[in-house]
This record gives sequence, C-alpha cells and structure tokens, in this order.
Amino acid sequence: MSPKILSVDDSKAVRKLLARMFRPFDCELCEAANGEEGLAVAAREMPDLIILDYNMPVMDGISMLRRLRENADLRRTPVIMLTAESSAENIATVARLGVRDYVTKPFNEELLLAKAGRAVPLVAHLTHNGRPNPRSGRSGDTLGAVSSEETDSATELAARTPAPSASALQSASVLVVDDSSTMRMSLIKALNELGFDNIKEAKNGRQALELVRKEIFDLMLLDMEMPEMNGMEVLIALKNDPQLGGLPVIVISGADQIENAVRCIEAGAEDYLPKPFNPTLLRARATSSIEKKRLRDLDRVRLTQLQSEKDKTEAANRLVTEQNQILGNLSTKLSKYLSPQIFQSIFKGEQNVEISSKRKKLTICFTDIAGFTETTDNLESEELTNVLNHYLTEMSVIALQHGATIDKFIGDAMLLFFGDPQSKGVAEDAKACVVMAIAMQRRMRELEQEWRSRGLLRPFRIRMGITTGFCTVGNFGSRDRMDYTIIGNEVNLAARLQSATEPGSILLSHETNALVQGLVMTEEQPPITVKGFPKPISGYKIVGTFDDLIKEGRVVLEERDGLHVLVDLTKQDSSDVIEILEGILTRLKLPRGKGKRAPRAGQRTPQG
Amino acid sequence: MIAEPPIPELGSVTASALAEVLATQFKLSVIASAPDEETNSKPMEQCHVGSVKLTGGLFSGDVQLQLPEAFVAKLTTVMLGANAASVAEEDAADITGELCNMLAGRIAATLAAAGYFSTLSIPTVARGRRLKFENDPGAKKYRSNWTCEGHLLKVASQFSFRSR
Repeated sequence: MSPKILSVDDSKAVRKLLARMFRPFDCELCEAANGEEGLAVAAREMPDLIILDYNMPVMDGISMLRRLRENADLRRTPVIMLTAESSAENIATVARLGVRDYVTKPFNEELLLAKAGRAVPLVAHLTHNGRPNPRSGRSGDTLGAVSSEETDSATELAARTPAPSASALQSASVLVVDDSSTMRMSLIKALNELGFDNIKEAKNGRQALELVRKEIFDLMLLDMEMPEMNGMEVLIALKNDPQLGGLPVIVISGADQIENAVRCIEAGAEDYLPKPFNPTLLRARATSSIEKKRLRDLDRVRLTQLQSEKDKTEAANRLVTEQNQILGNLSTKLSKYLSPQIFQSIFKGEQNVEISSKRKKLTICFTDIAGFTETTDNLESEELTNVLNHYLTEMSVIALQHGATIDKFIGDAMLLFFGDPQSKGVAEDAKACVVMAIAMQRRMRELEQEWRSRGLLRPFRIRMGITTGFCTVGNFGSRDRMDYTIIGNEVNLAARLQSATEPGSILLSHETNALVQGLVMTEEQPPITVKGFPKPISGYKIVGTFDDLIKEGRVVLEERDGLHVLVDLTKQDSSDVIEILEGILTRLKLPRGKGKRAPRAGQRTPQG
Repeated sequence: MIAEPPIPELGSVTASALAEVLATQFKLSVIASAPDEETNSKPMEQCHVGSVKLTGGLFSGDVQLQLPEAFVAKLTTVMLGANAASVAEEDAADITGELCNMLAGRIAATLAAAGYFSTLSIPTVARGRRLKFENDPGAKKYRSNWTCEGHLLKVASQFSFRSR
C-alpha cells in the first residue's frame, strides 16, 4: 500500500510544490491549510507522514503537533517540520514533541524528499519507457525509509522526555572531520562560539574512524571530499558498524554538491550543512542532531532496561517452571504414599491438612495373605519384593477401580475402607466393598498361574474380613507428621473376621451382610469370640454373587412380589428339591389358610 | 549589567537572505540595483507587497517585499512547474506571502545567531501599495532594490532594538 502524506501549510503554493515534488513517487498526498484543518484531515486520512508548517492562521503547527501527540491514533505519525522558523529553541521544542525532522524554508527539494524517504518508503514510478522517473533519479527502489519502530519509539520517548538543558547539549562531544585545516578551525571556532567545548578533529576519513572507535562522540561534522577516505566511505563504514551506526553525522558540503549531500542523507547522514556554513544553521542542525541522538540513546537505554527486565522475567519464569516441575515430581512421588482420594481432596483444597477427625459409618475391609511367611520362604528377597509389590499393585488397582480408600499397607496386609472422603451412602459403600473383595479374589486366582511360573510353589491365598460400623476417621499424629486413617472397634473386627475365615474367602460381619442382601449369597458361620468384643460375633462367608451362581447353575432363584424361591443345588439333590417343590405345589392347591412351613434353623439363608 | 549583543549589519543580512531564498527555492539569482532606479519599475497597482513582522525580547521588526505581478507569475512557473502567464489574485498573494515569509525567516535566523531571538508573524499581502512602515523615529530602516530576471524587486525592513 502506498504511503499517505499530509502537507499542512497555509501557503497554497507550498502545498502545490509538495504535490509536484511527490508526484513521481508512489504515494498519496492530501493537504490542509492550517492546524485545525490538518487535524481533521489527519483523523480522516490517517497519514503515514505529515509535513507541517509552523506559522499558520487559526491553529499553528506547534498547537497541531501537541494535539496530534494527544491523539492515540495519530501520536506515532512521523512529522517533518517545514518552516521558515529555524531557531534552535523552536527546533528543540518540536524535537521534544517527537518531530522526526526539521527542514527550513527556503528548502532544497531533494533534501526534503530524502528526509521524507527516511520516514516512509517512497518508491519512484516508472515512466512510459520503463525507465525510472528522472526526477527521482532512482531505479524504482525506495528512498531510504527507516523502520516505523524507530520512529515510533523515538516519538513516544520524545513525548515523555524532559528537554535537555542547553549546557547539556553543548557539553556534547563533537568530531570535526575535514581535510582543510582552515575549514576545521572555522568550524571549531563556530562551535566554540555556540558553547561547544568538547571538540576533536580529524583530517581525513580514516583518522575519523580510528577516533570514533576509540572515543564516544555525540556528533560528527563530516566533509565530503577528502583524501584517503571520503565522506561517503566514512558514512558507509559507520552505518555498517553496529556500535557506531547511531552516531549522527552532519555532512558539510559545498552549495554545488547538493546531489552528494542528498546521497549522504540517503546513506544515513542526519543532515547537511552547506559551505560556507551559516552559524545559525550549524547551531540548529547540531542541536537538533544531538537532541535526536540523546533521544535515541535514551531509547536504547530504555530498550536495554526492558530487555534486562524481560530477561529477568524469563529467568524468573524458568525458575518457577523448574520449581513447579520439581514440585510436580515431588507431589507425584508423595501421592504414592497417599490414597488418591485423599491426595486429590488435599490438592483441591477440600481437605485441611490439620489434626482433626469425625465419626462416620464406614465399611472396612481387611485383607491378608494366608501363611505369607511359609509361602515365600523359598524366595530370594528380591523376588519376594517383586511378588509382594506385584500383589499389592494388582490389589490397589482393583481397590481404586471400586472407589476404596487405601488406608495403609501393613506388610502383606491391606486396610481399605469405603465412605470417606467420598461416600455413595452406607449400603452402596458396603456393596462396593463386597464387589471389590470378590474381584480381588478372582484376580488372585488369575495371578496364581503367573506366580507359579516365577517360582512361587504355593500360590498366595488371601483372607478378607469386611464389616460396617461407626469409626473415627481423620488426621492422626503430630503437627509435623500425620496419617489419614481410621480407628475404632470396627477396624479390629474387620481384622478379626479376616483372621477367622479360610484362605481364599471373604467373611462379612452381620451388619455388612444385612446391607448386601440380594447381591451375594452368604453362608452363616459359627459365632467367633473376638478379643475386645464381649459377645461372640456372627460371621457370614460369601458363597458368590447371585448373578455368578445362577450362571454357573449352582443356584435357582425366582423372585416375584410375595414369592422368593432359592434352590442351592450344591447342598440339595435335585430330585429332593423336586419332591419338596411338588409338596409345596400340593399344598398350594389346598384351600387358602393352610399351610406354609417356616425354614429350619441351620439351613442356608436366602438373602432377600 | 549584561552587554547587548552586537547588531549585525542588517543591510547585508537582508541582501544575503533574499539571494539565498531565490537561489534555493526558485533557482534564480538577483543582482543589486541602485536604490532610486525605477527603470523597470511597474505601476504600483501591478505590484504585490508582502509583509512579515518579527517580534522578540530585544527587538521588533518588519520585513516587506514588493514584487511585480509578472515576477510573481514567473515564481509560480518556477515553483510549480506550470506555465503561468497570469496568476489568480489569491495565488499571487499566497506566493508573495510565502516568499516574504522565507525572507523574514532567513533574516530572523541570522539575528538569532547574533543573540536576537524572535518569532515571525503570519505574512500579510496587499496589492498596489508602497513599502511603508509605522512611524518609529528610533527604528533602523533599510531599503534596497534588486533585479531578477529583468524584474525590479524592492525590499525594505525596519528594526527597533530595545535595551534589556
């Protein structure tokens, strides 16, 4: 997209002149006759460059400039002042308002084009014969544009930066480069009179480059025609050196060398000063160049600071990421010492890590490997560890699949419970626990073959005791070391039930048995005397789930409203069952009111 | 007490300023004419007079420039690249004012270099009047005539300097 240039000048002739000057280039020109009109056109057209007069009726250039800088959309638009006002004070004022360049009237058209070309890309149109327009003198390429970032940052910084004092500007170090000693003396004298004290000289380009590589300068006044190394060669060397590229250079050229001066500006010179030089022009251009360098230096410092802040932030972020990773790894490791439900509830903030507890009705499961020591006697410790860990891992997976909270591993034993921190209700928790226990026993039978192949001559058989009742659940221990666990008689009862049952079986307490009726068929066991319990305890051994037993043909179960028929074919001969059922049928055919018989004590109890 | 800076020689300041403006902006050269030479002088009604005032802490001034209409047309041709045999009144006033503005700007810059800072007024342009200043007995007055491309140009300035 071609750049848009707004010229704001009360002189129609100047506006027309600018239009004629920019016509050979691929750009769009709009105009305004005063500051107020300029603001309106700028707001409408959003120009890429404004060429602005100083003295105008209605609203002058400086007022328009101030208003531009207050406008969020236009404050970054580069501005070149084109004015008959050329005092150093005016230049400093507009430089603080972020003016990109300052051209005094009467002005050299090529010079203004070169400066405009540094603010926006100006591409010359080709003429009808395909040659570049002779007015531009270039082969369709751009007139030395600078990046918008450079303009933006300098403009923004200028708007924020307080004006430098005259003494600060004049204490700047200046290098005068000219092969003519008379010219050098003349320039140094003029600079001295303007208040510049810190001046060095070089008689050719090579000497100048040696000096700028050794010392820091704020400005170079550079002659064009010199022996050994001319002004253009110096400029190219400076611009190719990242350390020296920011040094402003004012080219000193004869009035007949304006084409050269334009080329120098395109090559990166800040400005030019015609010979014989006018002290006012020297002061204005030197002041302006030094001021712009100061702003660029500030910009660079600010950028360095920003980069440093960015580096620090990135370093801090890296550190935080690393720490988070370390913490993540640690928490992953620590989580293995906790039941996942406990870990999750702590990390989600649902559970305070403090010593506290509550009474809650839970279903507790205690498992242990029967004869573990004897079973594993023939195993090396490493193999024993592997087998034991394998067993515990397999059981843990099943436990977690069914929603158990793994309280602890006690050697080869496990204490698990249902109902905290999550609970589906006492009955559902009890059923989940029983289903888990059955799944564990089934998995143990599957693992038997595998363990045999690893040298375990007698397969592991586990005993499981399950009970339901009130426990105290919570954090127990000290402030520095605590365990989330359960305590109470029910825990002891689960352990006793476990030890009272046969290997490979599951024994339920009375209450758990009551809660899982309809799910599993159990067999009441002779009461057991348990330490800590005054009365003998009834235990119910799980035969299997009704679903499994029916599928296996071991049970016949028919249930209707008011009818419950359960036939355990492992205990009853089918012909006996038929005989009994026929007897029942006969009785059912009798008139109403005669006949049902209660089941005899000691027989298996149908659950449900 | 601070000494006043020396006042530049205003006649030569004005002369070099006019030469610089015409050379830089219009690629034209001027030569000095005798102050009273009226050979090529046009009737007053065919001339435009531009005026710009300079206002500073240590001085005030007025720079005036009288241009014949044909010369304004010449300037328009040179400046805008169009062949302008005659120029609209508004455009003539505009280009006269701009030339006067540039001239006053160069004079102000030279005075500023000598320590006399000033700001410029917006140019005013009138047709058919003489170069004339407000009556100020203490003011320094300068008048000069110039020839450019066969046209007679008249420059006049008046400066009043004050003590601090």
